[in-house]
Amino acid sequence: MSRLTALIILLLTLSQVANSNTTSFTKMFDIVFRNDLYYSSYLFLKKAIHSKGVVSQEKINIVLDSIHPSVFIHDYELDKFVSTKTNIDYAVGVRRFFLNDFKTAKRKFSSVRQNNSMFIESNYLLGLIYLTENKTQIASRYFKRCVRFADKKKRTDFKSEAYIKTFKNRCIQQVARISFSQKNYQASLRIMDYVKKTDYIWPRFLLDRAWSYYWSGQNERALGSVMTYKAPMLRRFMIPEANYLRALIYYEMCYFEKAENIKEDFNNATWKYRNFAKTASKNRLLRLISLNDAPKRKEDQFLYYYLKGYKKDIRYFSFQEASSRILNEIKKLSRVKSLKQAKLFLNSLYYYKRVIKEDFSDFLKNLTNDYFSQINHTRNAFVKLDLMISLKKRKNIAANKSSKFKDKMKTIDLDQIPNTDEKFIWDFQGGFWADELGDYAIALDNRCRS
Amino acid sequence: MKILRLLLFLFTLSLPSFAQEKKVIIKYQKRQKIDLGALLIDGEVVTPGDFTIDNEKEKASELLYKRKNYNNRLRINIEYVF
Repeated sequence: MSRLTALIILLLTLSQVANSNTTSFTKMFDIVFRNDLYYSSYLFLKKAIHSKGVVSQEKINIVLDSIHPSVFIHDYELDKFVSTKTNIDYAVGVRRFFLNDFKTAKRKFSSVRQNNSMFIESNYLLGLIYLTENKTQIASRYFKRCVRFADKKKRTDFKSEAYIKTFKNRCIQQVARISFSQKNYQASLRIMDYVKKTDYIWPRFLLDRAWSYYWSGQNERALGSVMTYKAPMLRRFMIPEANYLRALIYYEMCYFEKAENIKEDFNNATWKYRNFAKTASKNRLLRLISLNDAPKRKEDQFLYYYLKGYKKDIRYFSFQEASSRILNEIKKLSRVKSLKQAKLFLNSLYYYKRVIKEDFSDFLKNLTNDYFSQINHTRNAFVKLDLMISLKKRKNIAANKSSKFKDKMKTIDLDQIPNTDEKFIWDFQGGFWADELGDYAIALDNRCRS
Repeated sequence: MKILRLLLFLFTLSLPSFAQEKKVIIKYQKRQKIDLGALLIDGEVVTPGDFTIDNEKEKASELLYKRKNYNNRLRINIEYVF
């Protein structure tokens, strides 16, 4: 413990002569880096680079890999490096990206080389920029490169296996979505197969899969995909659009009663609570996401289950990891806070801690705002669907086919469903579904034909 | 001599104006009979069908929301990268 304090005192003493000596910034960076004080070493790194000091790329990679991106986003000091090419171009690019300066961000991310540990993130961000410019082919190329290089990326405490997998899967999802928008549904499904069912992000692909199945005319598979959300483990990933798609497929297969029931469920379980998503404060959301057990109030439960789907998200665990790391560095520096230089460091670290927390709170708030708009959008879609069901019903009454209102299940032979390796009928009524994950198909026949 | 030539020239010019006064009588065919039954038409005879209802169905179906792309999710992907 005292050895560490001595080291810090040493570096602070060194820092006092820093203004006149360029190489001392590099030396100080090395000292702080050796003590695993990455946030503090980041402060020296900027100074060293600004004064044309030479720092090894490997060390820079470790520092940039260990720092929460919110620090880059809110670090106005990075603006000094906008027009010059440096080894921290990735950090500068991240800030420009979030300032919507896509032109500079593109230039900065393009300069990140394959041996740089931020290569996959850079490619993902470049892909997103090109998507905003509607250049889907170029975007697809960057996303594919991100997938290819994900396995080569070095794992660290901060950027763990889960973090890298998340980025890889996000890139897979974007490639699949590009194929989907080009109406290449089979390719989209094939690409999504690269995501393993054991990945926590897999449930988020279910809706994407369902829409691809739907457009390729495989309603049984589409319905099976969205039905998977009914598994208790996956309920937290359920989004309103999945419910709507279920109802739409039932409607198109002439199971009107089922479609109406889904709409009723949506009204009772989601639409009713929509305003809580809109009005919940950031602190309340922070509290809810950190709860281990479900709260008692219904409206809290509504938000709790939605946020629970993000508990294994990289944004949550990188927020936790970064907060604890910064706190640790603050504690160490607080021991020598009597020194003027230490106070400057501490102020920067407190600032970083604050922006990381603010960004995460904003993320939660925006997440629930987005949830609110999704609910509204789904409600509008349900209103139109409801109208169509009424029209169909009216026609059936006119044609004396009122028996069609009752949804007597009409099953089909499982062999008629393509690409089902393991087929079985699951009894949802009396069945028990613990933790099986799968890609289900519903063996329902289209009643409109009869 | 010159006067004689001039008179001859004027006489020649006046000749067509006499000719124009002649009446041209156009004779039309009094009655034309078209036998529709004997007409032959190349091509397939089709009936229009109830296209109005189909359009109505199509239009109504277009009202329903069906995801065609993920453009509306792009902004959220950008904002929530980290």
